[in-house]
Amino acid sequence: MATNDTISPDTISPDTISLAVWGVPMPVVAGERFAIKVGARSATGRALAGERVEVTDAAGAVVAAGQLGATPLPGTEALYWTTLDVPASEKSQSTDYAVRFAAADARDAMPARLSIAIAAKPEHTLAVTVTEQDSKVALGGVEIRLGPFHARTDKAGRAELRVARGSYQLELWRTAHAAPHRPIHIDGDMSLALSMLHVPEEHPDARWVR
Amino acid sequence: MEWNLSTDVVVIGAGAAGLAAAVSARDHGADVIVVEENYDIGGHAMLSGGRVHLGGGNALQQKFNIKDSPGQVFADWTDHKRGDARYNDRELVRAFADECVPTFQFLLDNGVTFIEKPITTPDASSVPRVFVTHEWHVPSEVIAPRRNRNGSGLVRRLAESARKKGAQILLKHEMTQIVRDQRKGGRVLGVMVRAEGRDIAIEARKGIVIATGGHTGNVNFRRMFDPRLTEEYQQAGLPYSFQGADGELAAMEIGASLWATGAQTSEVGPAITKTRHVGTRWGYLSLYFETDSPIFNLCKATGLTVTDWQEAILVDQTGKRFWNELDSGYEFLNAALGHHGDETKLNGGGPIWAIFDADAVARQKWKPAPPHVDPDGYFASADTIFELAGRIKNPYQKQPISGAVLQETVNRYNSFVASGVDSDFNKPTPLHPIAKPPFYAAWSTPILHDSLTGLRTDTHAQVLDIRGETIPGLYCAGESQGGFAQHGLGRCLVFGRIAGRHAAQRNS
Repeated sequence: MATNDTISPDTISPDTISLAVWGVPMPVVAGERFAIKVGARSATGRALAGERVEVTDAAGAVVAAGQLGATPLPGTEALYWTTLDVPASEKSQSTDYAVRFAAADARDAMPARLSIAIAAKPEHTLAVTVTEQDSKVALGGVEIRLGPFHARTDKAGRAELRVARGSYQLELWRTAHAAPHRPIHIDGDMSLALSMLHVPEEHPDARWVR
Repeated sequence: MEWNLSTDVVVIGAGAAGLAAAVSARDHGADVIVVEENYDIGGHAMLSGGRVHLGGGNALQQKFNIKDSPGQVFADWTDHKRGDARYNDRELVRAFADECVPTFQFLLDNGVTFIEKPITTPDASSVPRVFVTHEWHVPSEVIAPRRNRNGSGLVRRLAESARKKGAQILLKHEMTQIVRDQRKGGRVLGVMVRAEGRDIAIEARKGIVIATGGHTGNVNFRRMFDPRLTEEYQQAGLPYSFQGADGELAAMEIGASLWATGAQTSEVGPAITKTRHVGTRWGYLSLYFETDSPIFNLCKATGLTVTDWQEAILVDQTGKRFWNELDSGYEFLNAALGHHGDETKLNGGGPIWAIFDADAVARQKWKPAPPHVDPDGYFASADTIFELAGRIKNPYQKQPISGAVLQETVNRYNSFVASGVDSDFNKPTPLHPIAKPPFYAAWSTPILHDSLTGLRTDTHAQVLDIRGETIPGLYCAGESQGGFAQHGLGRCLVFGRIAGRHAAQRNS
């Protein structure tokens, strides 16, 4: 994986094309196809409708391609975009794809990279309820991560994750709350009641002391 | 020398320390002129949360059965185990401890009112000692309205009392010199002041109290303690209250000494802080300016309030991450101030930028447009990360950020989100990729707050020179005073009161 130390300084032409990639699902199911959105913008803001963009795998093979749409993405200045359908590897792993602007005059196009987490097909349901440790109040808005699987609790502190069989670290995140990570083994549908400890945020004028 | 005005005591600065000094001097029979460079009173205290740290068993502590004593105050604030206590001048702490209760009563006697709820603070104090003043009741006279700037109630009441008791407060009068008898051991004679383009000489027959609010806005001065603090680091309280070291410099020019300089870099408390309000030049932790502030035209933006640093990454002036964004302590700050590769500017870390996407905006319900952000150098947006880098243009950003570098930074971070592990900086559970356009860059550079060192004084707040001898008639209180590194209003009020009293009682 490239690090910042190996990146060359920009070689900017007046019409450098740069890319954005979003809407990547997490995780992606091994062996299945997934959709991503790809956008391209010219530094001059010129129209890029109909231009070609490609996705390549680690070996450099083109695995998906398409043409940019006719109108810019709403909320952007001149980001022409499209949706591409990409095949996922059969292996459960984290992997990178490259995305490039493939027009004939693409000499000054900056490639993009996207990272995806590939997991086995979810077969089981993990139902989670999260409360505050001392008050027992339901905690909404808790981010739950189980390896590449994730969900967010509703106002009642409940969430359901569709997960694949396996062993994971269960991680919870909510501002001003703390919970230790815990190992979880999934081999069937499960329910868990979890708690997080409210750690009051310091008053903004408070001090750190050590 | 010919004087334009003459009085017993000149107070330089109309903040918490200066106003306390003025009232105290009047209470002891002195004529008082306060000179204030700003267009209004209050200084930093006007913008503070009004959390007054005075213990020792004051009237409200007694009401809440909080057991406290001057001895306990002294023990707490000289505790060798604590970074906010061990560097203090213990003689000053003793004076403070003994004067806490009378100073609290002094405030009550001068019309200051408190919310009757004791506050426990995570500093050296072992019992609750903080009570918060009521915010001033005239919204147009609160410089930062709707931000719980309860310190307005403290300083407005003290100014009201000072004027009622006959102190003269001259606004937009900037002290330019302290005049001292040039003979060895000579006393201070008065001050030179500039107002409306004219120089005015004001005689101080008994004494001068320096209460000019500290030094953190003066780049050259603050770098005496920490060379890292170059010009990119803004000063909290601006654009209202400038901590320009005016008092310190004027006093040092006539021989005054600094004191307890170790307190300034003890890495405890909010001397340097991570901002919470990004995309605006002077966003601090607890302070930003709403659109109905009388000085909003100078502030230009409210900033976007970050409640969860999972929503953004922080990059340095080269476009690279440098630390776990969820950390707000001094390890984070030291990393932010670290050298990030600019060979033309070795000191200082350069600007820090929060980078985030449209999904973060939606989750946080931010409004990334004026008046919430300042696009004039402190906020940028673009369709792609590569484009965004080129739009980050700011007076302190000495070199442009490479789009390729910033793109790789974001790519790498997004790979950590996919894997669930930040292998660069151990950000716990990196949650959200920065992926959905448009993209944003918001000024998020550490901001400076407390002045924790300043002029050397004795327990009467009399300034001492570089040989340890009193400069007769010269006093200092507040953030310009060195030797007691307690955050906030308590020490300013105590030593302001002490200074005013002692000055008034001097022979003229």
